[in-house]
Amino acid sequence: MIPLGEQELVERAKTDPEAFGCLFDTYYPPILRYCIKRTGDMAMAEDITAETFVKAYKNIDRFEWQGVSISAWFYKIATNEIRSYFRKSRYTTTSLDELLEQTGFELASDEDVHQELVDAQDQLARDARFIEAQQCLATLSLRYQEVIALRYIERKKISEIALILGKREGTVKSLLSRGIVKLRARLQPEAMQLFQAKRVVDSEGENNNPRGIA
Amino acid sequence: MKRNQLHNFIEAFETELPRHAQHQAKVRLVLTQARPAEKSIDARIRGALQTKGEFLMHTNIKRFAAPSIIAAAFIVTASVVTIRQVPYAQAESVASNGLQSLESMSPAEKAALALKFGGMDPRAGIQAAKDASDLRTISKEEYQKLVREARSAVTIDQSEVDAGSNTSTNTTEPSTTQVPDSAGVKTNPGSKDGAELVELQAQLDNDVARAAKFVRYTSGPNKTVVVAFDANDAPLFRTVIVL
Repeated sequence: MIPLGEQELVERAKTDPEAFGCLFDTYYPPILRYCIKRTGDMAMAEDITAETFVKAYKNIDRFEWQGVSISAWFYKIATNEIRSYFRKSRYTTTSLDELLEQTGFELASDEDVHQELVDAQDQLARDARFIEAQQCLATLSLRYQEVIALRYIERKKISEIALILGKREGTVKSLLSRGIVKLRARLQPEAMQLFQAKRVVDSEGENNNPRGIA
Repeated sequence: MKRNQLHNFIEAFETELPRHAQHQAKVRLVLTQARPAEKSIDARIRGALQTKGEFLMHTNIKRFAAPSIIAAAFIVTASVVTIRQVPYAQAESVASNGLQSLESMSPAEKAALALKFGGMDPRAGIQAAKDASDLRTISKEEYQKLVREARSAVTIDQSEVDAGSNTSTNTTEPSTTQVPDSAGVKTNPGSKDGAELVELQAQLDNDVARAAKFVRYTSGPNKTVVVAFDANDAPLFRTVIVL
């Protein structure tokens, strides 16, 4: 369902930053939640969300209204960014830095932003159920993660998912079907135990070798 | 059984996640401060100079934030000065236009701006920079490089401050005088000017400039005025950068 007046707002956003700000206000929370659920990392989710909106802002003049909420476009950018995050050993964001250089330092409020992040990480760390589910999702290959997250966690329609991922609806259905089979296998208690044991070993290895030097 | 596991899995994601109001506000500010899509250079400059809400200022800066901000401003300013000689007239024109734009504000707009600046008059800083002929121009690329260098330098300084291990700082008496103008200041730590930088750091460490105010006036994507004030509204560093 497209929010009333969104099309006009999108058109205005092409020349008016405040109009883009209104779109940002509406879609920042769901995009951030999506990024948190996909990455399980608060700081990275913040970075990816910021990068998503900066990229959207930079390219808004090229966005063409096709009768679908602009949220699908934001999800598409966020999904691509998350893909980069999972594929690269070091995910770096640059767009926000560039804009910060253009618009000025915001260091005065950085302390509050940092504290907010620390509090959020603490809150998330206490939610064992979420962490377990997120880790389970992350064991799937990216194409299955994407369709499962968008369909069952974000509750998107198949047609929307097809648009976000740039795939045919039939392909999305097929990926969902296979993804669910794999997810069910991962959700078996013994599979989870094995996975958690592996994570402990991995994290111990990282602690012993924090710089990752072989 | 399997169905329940899947349901549990999905329900686990329905948890209430923390709100990130501060981060949201920060990103929004950066986005809305940036220029909208393509406009002509002329329109950008005129439009930006006539826009009243483009000043960024931070008052009551918390401890440790102030040193970072001021050190960043200082290093940028000092580096700007040392990079190259550039046409003064062009920079002066930016400052003059900025001042003119401020002067043309209605009393209500001036009051709103003063409120935003914590009672400080932003014209004073720009006027001071102009009066001191302390105006330079650099390219956008050079500026971005300087900001990156300034940020990395600030990060190091900050860790030293936090750890209390900056021996240079500890051995330097806190300065009670104004920090010198940026003209002629270099960042080479071995030089006299480098000593001035250390002195500034000592001053900051002692929280003399804890309530410093940093103003960065972006008058369009190609023009920027950078001014920093101390707690008494006296200019601390000032420069005009025409990008």
